Amino acid sequence: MVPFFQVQNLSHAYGRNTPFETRSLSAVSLQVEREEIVGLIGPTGSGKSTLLQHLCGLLRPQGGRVWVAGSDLADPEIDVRSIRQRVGMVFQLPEDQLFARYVGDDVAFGPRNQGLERSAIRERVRSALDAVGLPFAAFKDRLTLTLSGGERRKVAIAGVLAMSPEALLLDEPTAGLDPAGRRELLDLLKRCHAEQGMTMIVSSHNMDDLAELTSRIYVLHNGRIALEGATRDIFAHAQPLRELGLEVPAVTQIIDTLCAAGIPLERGALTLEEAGEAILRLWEGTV
Amino acid sequence: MSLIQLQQVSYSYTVPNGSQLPALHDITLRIPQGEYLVILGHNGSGKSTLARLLNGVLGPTTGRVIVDGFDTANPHDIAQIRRRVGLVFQSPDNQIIANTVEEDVAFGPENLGLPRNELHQRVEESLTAVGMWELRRRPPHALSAGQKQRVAIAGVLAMRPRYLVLDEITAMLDPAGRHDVLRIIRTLHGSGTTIVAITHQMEESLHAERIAVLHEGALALTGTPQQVFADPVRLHELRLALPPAAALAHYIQQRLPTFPTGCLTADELAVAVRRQLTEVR
Amino acid sequence: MEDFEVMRNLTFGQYLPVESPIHRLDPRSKLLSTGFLLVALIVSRELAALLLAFFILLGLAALARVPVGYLLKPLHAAWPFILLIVLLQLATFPGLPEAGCDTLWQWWILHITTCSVRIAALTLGRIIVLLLLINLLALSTSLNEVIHGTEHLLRPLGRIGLPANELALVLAIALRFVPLLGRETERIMKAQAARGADFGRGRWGFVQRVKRLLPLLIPLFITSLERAEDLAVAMESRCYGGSKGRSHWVQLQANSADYCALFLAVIVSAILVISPW
Repeated sequence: MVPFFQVQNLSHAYGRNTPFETRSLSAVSLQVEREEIVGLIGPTGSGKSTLLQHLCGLLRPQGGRVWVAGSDLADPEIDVRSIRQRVGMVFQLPEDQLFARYVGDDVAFGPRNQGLERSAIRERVRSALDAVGLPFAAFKDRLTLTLSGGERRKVAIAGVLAMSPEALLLDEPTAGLDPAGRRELLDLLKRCHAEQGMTMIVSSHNMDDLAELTSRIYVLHNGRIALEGATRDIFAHAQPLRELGLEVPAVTQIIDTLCAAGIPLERGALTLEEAGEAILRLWEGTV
Repeated sequence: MSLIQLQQVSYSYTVPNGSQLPALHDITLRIPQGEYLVILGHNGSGKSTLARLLNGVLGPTTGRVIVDGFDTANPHDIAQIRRRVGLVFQSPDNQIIANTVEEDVAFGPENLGLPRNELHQRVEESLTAVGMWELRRRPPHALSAGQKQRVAIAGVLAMRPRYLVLDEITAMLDPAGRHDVLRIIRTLHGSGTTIVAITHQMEESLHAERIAVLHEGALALTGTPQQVFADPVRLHELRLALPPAAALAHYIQQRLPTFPTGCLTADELAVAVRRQLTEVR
Repeated sequence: MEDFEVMRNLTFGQYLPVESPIHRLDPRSKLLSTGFLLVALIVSRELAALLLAFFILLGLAALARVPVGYLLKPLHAAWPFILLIVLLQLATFPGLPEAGCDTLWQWWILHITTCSVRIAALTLGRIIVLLLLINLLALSTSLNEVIHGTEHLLRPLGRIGLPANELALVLAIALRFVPLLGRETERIMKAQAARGADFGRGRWGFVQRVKRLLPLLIPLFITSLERAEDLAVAMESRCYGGSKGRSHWVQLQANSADYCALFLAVIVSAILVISPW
């Protein structure tokens, strides 16, 4: 089974051959299978965004190779636009890119660029808006600028989903959202994954999000892959992550604190439920 | 008479077509000097509007906002109020106007017409307090978000405010930046500055002496962190969540009714778990 | 594939951050000197004086530790225009025989005379020295310094109502946000390109090109407006209320080097204007 994303020895520098040249990625290799949800973490400036931009066809590999669904991005014949349609990219603060007067028009931007017919566009917009929890009928004629911040973000995400991508790349998807908004977004992503088998890569500073969503994690540092592994294994070792300036999920930290206080707890809980059960098991034998 | 008082304050935004958009409804709140108050609320609950009412950027539609006896509705009092109430905002970039760090921090004192040596003193003090003195000649675009936010705080500190109102200042920062900024705020509180921190990060509210919860423009709940986080169902109705340790304690308590309520931090939880273990044995 | 990186390091001006006596000069003396020389150049009449100015500029560039290549860069970019202007002058200057001009070549309405050759040479000299002079100023003085220097110079005009401080503030704020705008442009371009946007590389007519830029321009415009509002609130919150009563963090100190520079500038300007040989 060909991996959906395959990266081999990828290197990238911004501003090559200018006085501003900065190396962004060095010999990065990774792969993501179809229908996997993989996490990408790293300190600010570690190259996460650059990596994601390669994977959706916005940047051409300077050194190394990138394959998306079997297509080699270094191939000059390649239709970059088809890659951008198959791999949707949700940038950080995606609500900043809204430009159309009406919500429906903004969501329709992607399908329109794909050259679809009017009825097909309408269908795409309908299913995208419904998917993000903004009912089509009620929201398609709303003025974009009158929506709340959370609603605007949903519109932006709908704009990407309307392209009907096979994979979704997300850069800090829950940044700036309140707890309720965050919950809605995480549930949306899980739905997309479950119902449509979407492959996903999530880059985030929010370890709780990653603990909930991802099965594997790559840790980036200074443009290189520093660590990789199953989510549970990566978060089981807080020390290497702390040295890179990263954290572990909140419940994992709490378990670590309890263990440090001498409580004989099993480690490795990623979610609230797992942590709760681990603690309750302390009384199992005695109840 | 050192305190901020909100007396039955309501605020409505006027939309271009003439209609009113209510944002805050009948808020009455006392903020004594030296307090660490956290204002929690879902997005759209009116938190930012409240922040801007505290230093007179917005004037209440009804009701009064009184700072140390000065009324924000009185144009002659505004200058006095703004010297006392410093406001730091969410977006680091949208607060820095000058081309170097030190020039930006000097902006506030310049507006006060302070003489040269005092400008220098204030700039140095403020930048040192936020740990940015070494980078004082840097241009803003060469700073990280966390560094920029610290510069913004320094710019406000240079006014020597008695009250510091922080409107979701960590929302756009990564964990490292957030950590640095929160440490600075706690230090400032320690040296006597009143802190009014608006946030929706539950963990940040654990440092508060008091929490006020806004819900759809009204004050829904006030109390100590213990009191506010005691009822998870109510919190959910208010579109908030429990801090992680409290959520974990609640989970355990559901299955083990003898488990104590009221743990808010991991350390408190550790104490409760150990006690429970020894009791059971 | 499109080049999204173009906007990444957007900066105005050519400032070269090195240490040199010229860099250390008070921006006011540099601005005034440049001003005098500029005026003198426009009225200069002798090629020899222009040549002298050219070599003086080369010397100043060396003093400013500016590589010759950097100094001559504007010529590299502008030479087609310079050539066009010079050729036009050469061929159309009304050199009448009564003024002592001999015609060297003629065709239709175009004619080259000894006078037009002289004028064209003068124009060439003026343009070159002008470009190099302004470039030297830009290379040795950051825009921030230029803004502060201009504001200091214009301050006396505040008495007759010129809002020097406000103007300087406006310019400084604009300057501060240029790099940020560059990065935001890149971000939004990429976001829209990811949704299939094609920003029109010259394949359509002008109107079409503008329409295709709307998904980039509108969001930039909106964020700029929001930013302006946020900044205004932040500035007011720090007690900004216009320039009245404000003190100044930036204090410019002129010293002997500056007076020397100014003196030299006046001398050279005089030479350019009077050409006493």
